[in-house]
Amino acid sequence: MAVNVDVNKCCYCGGCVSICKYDAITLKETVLTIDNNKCIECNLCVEVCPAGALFTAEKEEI
Amino acid sequence: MEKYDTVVIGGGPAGSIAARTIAEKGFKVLLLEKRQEFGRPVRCAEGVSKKWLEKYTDIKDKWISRPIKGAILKSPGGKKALMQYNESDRGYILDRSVFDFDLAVEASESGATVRTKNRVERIERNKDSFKIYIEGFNKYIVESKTIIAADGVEGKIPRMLGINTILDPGDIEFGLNYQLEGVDINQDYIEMIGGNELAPGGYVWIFPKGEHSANVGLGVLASRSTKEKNAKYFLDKFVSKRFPEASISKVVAGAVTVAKPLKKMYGNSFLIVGDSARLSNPLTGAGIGNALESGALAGETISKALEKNDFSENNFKEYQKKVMKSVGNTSKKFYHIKEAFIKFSDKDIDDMITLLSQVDPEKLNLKKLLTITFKNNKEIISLLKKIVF
Ligand SMILES: Cc1cc2nc3c(=O)[nH]c(=O)nc-3n(C[C@H](O)[C@H](O)[C@H](O)COP(=O)(O)OP(=O)(O)OC[C@H]3O[C@@H](n4cnc5c(N)ncnc54)[C@H](O)[C@@H]3O)c2cc1C
Ligand code: SF4
Ligand code: SF4
Repeated sequence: MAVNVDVNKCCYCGGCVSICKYDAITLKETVLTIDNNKCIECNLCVEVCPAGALFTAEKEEI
Repeated sequence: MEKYDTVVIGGGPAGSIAARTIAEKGFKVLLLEKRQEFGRPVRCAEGVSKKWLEKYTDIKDKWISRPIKGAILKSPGGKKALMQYNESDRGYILDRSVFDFDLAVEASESGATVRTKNRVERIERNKDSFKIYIEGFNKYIVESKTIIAADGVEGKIPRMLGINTILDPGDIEFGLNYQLEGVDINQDYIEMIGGNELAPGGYVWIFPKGEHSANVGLGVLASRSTKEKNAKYFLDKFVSKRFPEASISKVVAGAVTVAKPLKKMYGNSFLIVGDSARLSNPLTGAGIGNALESGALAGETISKALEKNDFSENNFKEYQKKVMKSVGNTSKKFYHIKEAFIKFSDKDIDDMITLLSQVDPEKLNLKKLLTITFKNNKEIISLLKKIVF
């Protein structure tokens, strides 16, 4: 599994960036990126994203 | 390589005021903003009190969407109380896209170099300076004696400098705001509505924007937000009930810190300001005023340090002291009030507004409101005595 972002839904509020304890998320202007090497898939960001833009998916699908 | 006395990272109100303050003293300042334009996209409901604007700016008409005379407070059960602002604590609903842009222009006019679409990617600390890696249309590096981190809620600059700013889900609100057209509201008053079914851990706001327009939004505590029931779910529910005819002309989403101010917002050769230092008011989420105040104080501190050529951590302690004295200690107390307030049931909120509705609106202010609301909570009453409102 890996955490992914649906760029059509993300409204770049920056909330997930400030709660991820593993420093895995970066907001480059309006483009969110998740560093799979840092993410431990705790799912916190997926739960709290106000836009429902984050989701987990099988790695093969990406 | 370009060399600067200070690089200010983040072009919100905190960063622009800091850059302006230092540039006015004649030092070489670079203000960097990762977005394409200062002030856009807006991430704010745009309410601010007159006292902060007056302190740091010459208020311009074009910044103001509406002057505000007072607030209407409502409970989930439909109880209502009115708060009439006196002349000194009048408020404004800003147009932040114009306001933020103009503040950046003021920094530039004072002599700062300002650049948008320039994101700081990495910082390297050398013996007497920083190397700052920037990604814009091109990648480049600048050298600076000092840094001000003004990078807002999602800011990572403090982390790069060794200060942990990660927030707990209980210390962050997700805010969503719609600018609605075709609404019929009293354009002189803001409205705030509490309730666990309306906005868990937060509140709904209705801020007039002139004519038939309003900013209607809410904040939901991240720890109480779920994938299904998130800020959008609650706002759509509220708007479809209260303003079924309105159309949405703008959507604003953003995270609001409702945390305690950072224990340490300084270090060797750097300072942290505004939302990046977690300085917004934890009860209300308002952060513009504290951003301006901390930005100005940081600007003064860095200017003095540049004059003396002393950037030691010890010398920057003074900044923390000043910020805490002017706004930080108040924020810290409001944190405890927020923690008490989010435990309120809907019935508690109904009872609170009922009590408040019995007070003369001319005499009702934030201090009185909280004193009445928490009359049985000794701890908070003693906190209130010490708050300077
Ligand atoms: C929905 C919502 C409603 C709100 N309503 C109100 C309100 O009514 N009244 C009020 O007072 N406050 C309100 N706030 C809070 C207010 O918006 C903030 O407190 C205020 O903007 C803080 O100013 P700042 O300068 O510290 O940070 P910001 O205004 O967030 O500016 C930080 C800037 O830094 C930039 N940046 C970040 N990282 C980098 C990097 N690496 N390189 C370059 N640039 C970078 C960002 O793009 C951003 O422009 C609201 C917030 C939200 C989300
Ligand atoms: S919390 Fe959701 S909407 Fe906000 S920046 Fe992260 S992915 Fe985007
Ligand atoms: S799942 Fe957890 S570790 Fe991974 S990006 Fe989200 S918050 Fe960070």
